[in-house]
Amino acid sequence: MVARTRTQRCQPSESRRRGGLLEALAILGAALFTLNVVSLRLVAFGPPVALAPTAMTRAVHEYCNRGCTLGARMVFVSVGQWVLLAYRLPREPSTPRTAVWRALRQLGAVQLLDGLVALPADSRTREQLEWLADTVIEAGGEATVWLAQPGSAGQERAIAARMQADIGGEYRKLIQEAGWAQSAPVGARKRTLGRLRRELRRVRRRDYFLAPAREPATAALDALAASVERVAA
Amino acid sequence: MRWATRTGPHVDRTASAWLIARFLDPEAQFVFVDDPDEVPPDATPFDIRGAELSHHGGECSFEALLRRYKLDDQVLWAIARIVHEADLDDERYDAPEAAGLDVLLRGLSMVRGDDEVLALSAPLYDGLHEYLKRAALLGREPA
Repeated sequence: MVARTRTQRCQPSESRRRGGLLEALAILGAALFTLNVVSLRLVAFGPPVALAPTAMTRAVHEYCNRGCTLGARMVFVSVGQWVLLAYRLPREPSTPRTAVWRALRQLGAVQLLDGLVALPADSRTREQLEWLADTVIEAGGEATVWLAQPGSAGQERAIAARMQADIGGEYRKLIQEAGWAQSAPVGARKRTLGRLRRELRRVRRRDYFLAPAREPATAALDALAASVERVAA
Repeated sequence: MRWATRTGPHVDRTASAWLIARFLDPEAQFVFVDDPDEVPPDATPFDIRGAELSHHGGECSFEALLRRYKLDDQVLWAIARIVHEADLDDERYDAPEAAGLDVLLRGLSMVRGDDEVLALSAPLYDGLHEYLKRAALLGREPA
């Protein structure tokens, strides 16, 4: 599997920062080909499927968040490998249909067609789709699990953008709720904070492409936490 | 007896292996495979696709083992709820311990081989069992 980033402009003023990125990529088993001071160009051979494919995106993001200026807003690292679940369930009973739908939603799977869903492949997503396939079969349906590569980078980018947009909506909902909670009495504010934090953890788990709204959502919950603290102090 | 499961064990497989070794088969030997087809004929598969001792009806393999071998013990079921949430995270149970346990096991599997992960995680489950047993007896969190 080959993962690529588009060329990014960075100003890595400290070599320590670059060291951090190199270390992160080394953990991922990726090979870095070129890295220079004015422009950062990564052409890396990605990790085996067992490693999270999004980890490379994360490494690049973390590196860039530590003070570099990014020329482009989004660093897109090709996932390379996807895991697909093709399934068909009888219309009745509806309970297994609902269970499968709910599980797919929680995983953040993207629907490609009716009965065909996809996730970036890693050991967890693959395992979860395999269990779901078994659930479908036990419910009298048909299911197969596939590992696949997108036919073109553009196609993959479009799907990733769709997933990112969906997740962005979930983050924005959290931001909104955190804002509303600010005007609630402190007890209610604290309870809401607990609930929103659990929800944020869930959303982050299915945020495979680091949606830009992640940072503001985290900040909104931190602000809510701070307002609870202030009252307690 | 030989038991087979998938390589790279996390929470459900380590907890299941612990359950097997402690409560079902003290002589248990564990084999790790990459694919269900690689399960040796003399081994009982668990937490692997198509096996009886695996995920069924929204339950994890640890729960399947408890049901199959009728281990009707409230402390083991308390562990099952934690393992279920750590593995499936579907909010069926209230198990705040799950997230921590999941991270510890995932981390452990990054730095140790399969056999060692089982050896190192077993005392953790012994401790969790003891803790939950005391909690059940006291009716509150033990000191």
